[in-house]
Amino acid sequence: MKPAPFDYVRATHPDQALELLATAGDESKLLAGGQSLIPMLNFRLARPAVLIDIGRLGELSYINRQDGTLRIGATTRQAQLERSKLASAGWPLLARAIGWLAHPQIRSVGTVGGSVAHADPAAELPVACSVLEARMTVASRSGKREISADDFFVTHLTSAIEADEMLLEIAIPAAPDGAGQSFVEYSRRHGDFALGGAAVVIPLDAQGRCAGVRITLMTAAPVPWRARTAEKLLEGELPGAQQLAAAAKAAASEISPTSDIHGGSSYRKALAQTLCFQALTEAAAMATPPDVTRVGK
Amino acid sequence: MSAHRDRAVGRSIARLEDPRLLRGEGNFVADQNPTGTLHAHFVRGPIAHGNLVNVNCERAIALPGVHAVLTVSDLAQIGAIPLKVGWNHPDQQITETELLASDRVRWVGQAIAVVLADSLYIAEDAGELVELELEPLPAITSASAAIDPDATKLYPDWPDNVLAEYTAGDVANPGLFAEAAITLHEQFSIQRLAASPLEGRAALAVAQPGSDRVTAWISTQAAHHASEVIAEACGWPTSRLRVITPDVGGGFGLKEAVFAEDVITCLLAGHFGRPVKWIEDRRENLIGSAHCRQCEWDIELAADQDGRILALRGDLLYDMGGEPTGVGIGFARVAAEMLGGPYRIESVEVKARGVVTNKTPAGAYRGYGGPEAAFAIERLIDLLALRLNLPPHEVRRRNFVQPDQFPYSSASGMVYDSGNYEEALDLALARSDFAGFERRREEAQKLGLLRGIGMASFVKPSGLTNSRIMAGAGTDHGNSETVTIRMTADGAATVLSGVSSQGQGHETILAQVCADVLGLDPEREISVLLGDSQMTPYSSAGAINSRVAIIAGAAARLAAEELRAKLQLIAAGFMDVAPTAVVLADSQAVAGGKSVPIAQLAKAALTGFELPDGVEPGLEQSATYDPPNGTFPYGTHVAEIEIEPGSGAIEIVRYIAVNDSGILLNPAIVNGQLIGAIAQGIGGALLEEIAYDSNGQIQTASLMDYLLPTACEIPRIEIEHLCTPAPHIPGGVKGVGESGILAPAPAIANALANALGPVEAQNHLPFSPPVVWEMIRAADGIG
Repeated sequence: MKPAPFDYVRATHPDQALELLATAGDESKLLAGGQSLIPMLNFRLARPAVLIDIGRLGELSYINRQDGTLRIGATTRQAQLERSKLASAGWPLLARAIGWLAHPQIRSVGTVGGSVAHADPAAELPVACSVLEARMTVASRSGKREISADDFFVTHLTSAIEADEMLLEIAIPAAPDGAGQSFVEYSRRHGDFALGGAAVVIPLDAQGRCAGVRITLMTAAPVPWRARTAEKLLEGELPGAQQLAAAAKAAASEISPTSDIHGGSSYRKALAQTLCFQALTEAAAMATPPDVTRVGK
Repeated sequence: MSAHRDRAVGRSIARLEDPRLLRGEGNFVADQNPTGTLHAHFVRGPIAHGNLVNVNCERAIALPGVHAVLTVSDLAQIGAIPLKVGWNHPDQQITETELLASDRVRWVGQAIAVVLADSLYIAEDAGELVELELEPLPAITSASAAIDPDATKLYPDWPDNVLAEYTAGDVANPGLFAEAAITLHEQFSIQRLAASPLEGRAALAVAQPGSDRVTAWISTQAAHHASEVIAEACGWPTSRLRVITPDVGGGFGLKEAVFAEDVITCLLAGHFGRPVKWIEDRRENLIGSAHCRQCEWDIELAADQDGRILALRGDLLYDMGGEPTGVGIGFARVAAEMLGGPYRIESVEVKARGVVTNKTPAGAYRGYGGPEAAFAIERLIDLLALRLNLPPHEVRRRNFVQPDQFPYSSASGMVYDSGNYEEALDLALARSDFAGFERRREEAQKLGLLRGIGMASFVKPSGLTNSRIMAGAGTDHGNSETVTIRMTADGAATVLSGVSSQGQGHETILAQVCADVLGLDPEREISVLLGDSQMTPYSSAGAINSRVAIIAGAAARLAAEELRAKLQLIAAGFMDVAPTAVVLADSQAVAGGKSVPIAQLAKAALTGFELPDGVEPGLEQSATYDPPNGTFPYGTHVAEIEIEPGSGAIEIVRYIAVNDSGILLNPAIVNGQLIGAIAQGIGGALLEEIAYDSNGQIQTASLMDYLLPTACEIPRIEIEHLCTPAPHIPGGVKGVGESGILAPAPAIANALANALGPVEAQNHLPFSPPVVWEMIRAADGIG
């Protein structure tokens, strides 16, 4: 389990990394925390000619809040986001999601951007980005562009980042006032890739009815799966057990998860319904109509 | 004088090994890097079954940094011969295996060529350049498919795919089945597992300058046995090869066998005159070493209307993979012999067949044979209880071998030594509050959880048996141990034994045994040297099957007693008392009101200056021990589980283990052995499974997919000890390394049946969440 030969360059500045990408393009691979890439190299499943190490670019490691939007630099370690009070104040779902992500040692090294760019639909951060409607800023030598989560995740392990581009930042818009947020998953062992999972945001209107519910299922499709039919079903409804159960059923009915040695499709589908209902129930319990929230403040 | 030291045996003294291991100062094979080392990498077959038409190594050899690339014919030219299987059974089709594949590959991961290079990176690069020409053949991926008369034969010369067959017991009386009030006929299956020691296999062989000798550091459980088997396959006299076991990171049976990779590493070091190092990586360990446990049972049970079992008969099909490893079909044989478990069953007939399949060869794994048998018989007991509408403990009680029936000769020829099986059951029932379970089930129900409780009783042959009996069974080694104790002039003792330690704390327990006999401090005055085929006394079989505590422990005790006798003689002369009046304690020889430091006696013995008449100089004694029989630790475990119906997830909410391993040398080490074995048992029940697809491609080649339990998945294990000393072993010790691994799977299976009602799938391991989810649907009549 030794990697095939490769050249290694440690980038000293994001612009240098972009230069290197522009030159090496398809032949190169960005190395950040390395928690997915290094095993792939050692199994010789990935064989880049050049490895461009951006893991120590301090310019890309930050968490801040501007105009209500949470901005996370791509090389921010997952553990930093997990512990960020700024993040948990407005987006408690993030820390919940990262709590499921592998193990503390891995989260200390693994980066937020690395996991998002890896685009594994069984991973927590892509699902969190989907349900929180994050926007990803990517750059190449010729400029920057912003991509919505819906467009960012293309298929299994494939994002919309081009070969000469690099992920710079994940921007998460403010969650609606009083919205309940929940993230649940189930895996064979603590820290394993999920057999199923669901992330939910439930905003309520002044009458306590669902207004703009978002549901994303994990491991349900080649990309984090926004269950839009189920979301619509809840629009304008009171979030009672019956309505939530119907939504969970609708969400699971839309998916056909892939079978593997750890679980067949029908099991995963049923599990998705169970977990979706659990996430909806938790989020609904936390949700408050917006005016109540203001009074609370 | 300070207060008397407590006896060492029975105390949880801190392990003597721990300071170096916990500081990261252990010395493992991989830690050694002699200059000029060549790194070995094995090129492994990519398909499950096929004719190997040609191997072209030219491009690989041409890569800079590559020293050699060799195939099996190259090894033969150097003088290597096939590797002997250690345990052969009557009419076994093959008794030796090729070092590398020659004309056919029979499993994904079979080694075909070896690359030696200046670094492992270069060696692996070169491995990719070895060109294999293969003609695929149909893959046989299960034991039942292998015995189909139309199945492709793995070995064209054989009549079928059966490697060997062994019948345990005698012909079961058919009348018993025809006339019995109750008969059961059930199938059980156990999945493929991998022993998965933390350190994979490893070998470093160094040619000794100025001679043809080779010294090899090998991650093995048995240094002497390894030296004999490796030297033979290299075509060398045993004296040419010295095998040393440095620190070893777990073995669990995998490392009791000698593998072709060990042989080739030694052979090539001798041939090229340079150090050769082979460190197995995890992927290689999961595909290229050995798997274990996979078998299928088909059993009939006859019982009377009171639940007394009259007879057992059945078949055991054991999936051997592509060829045998060290113990041949040994695990199938032991499983057949132990099907009767702790029960008095007069008539048993089990036909065990080891069949070849296109999968990684099957090898030894902790307790082999025992867990396979325990799963079947303990499920059968619960099914019998269900049929009779009796509590499961009641059926066990009615069938246990009773305390006054020991030594008990089982129908399959095992002689159980001692114990009180019912006492273990009663203690387990009491500690688990079995009687109060229904209330806990109701509480769980209110939370939407399905709760169940299950038990399993077991007995485990441990420490092998007498060497002569083993000869009759066909093994290539006996069961004796020799221990030498040497004293230095300062009164400290060095204990030498050929066994090794894979983390069990063998240095500590041997020091404890000797400390009490010699009146020394085990932590400061005794050092223990292990595992060197030329510098430590002969060990027939090394650290397997709890042999160290039982056999080496007894030999150490006997050697220490002989040394003590000599010290008593010298002390008697010094103090003018009778030798029998001298007691060794607190590093002193004491008699009447007088005392002499042991150091003074040692100095006298070693210098020969002041010895009493008739006492020879020198202070070194050896003793050899060969047990009359093995030992039979036993117990009962109770598992209480909760199932979350939406996911099929099982949480073990309580786990109680009652165990009798006789006298405990070091209770903390004993508990560690039990907890570790139970963790592996739980892993086998709920998580671990080596999976293959229909083409024989392995699907679990990393620890992402082969799910070992971690601390998060293992509940607190509540342990209770009983103590029935082994009546026939000096020191009264019984084995403990394996006894914990038998009960977890059947106890959890029985708990599942208790929670959900009986479902066929409860007879087939493992119980993954999707399987449990399906069970719930089956129990509810869905799907």
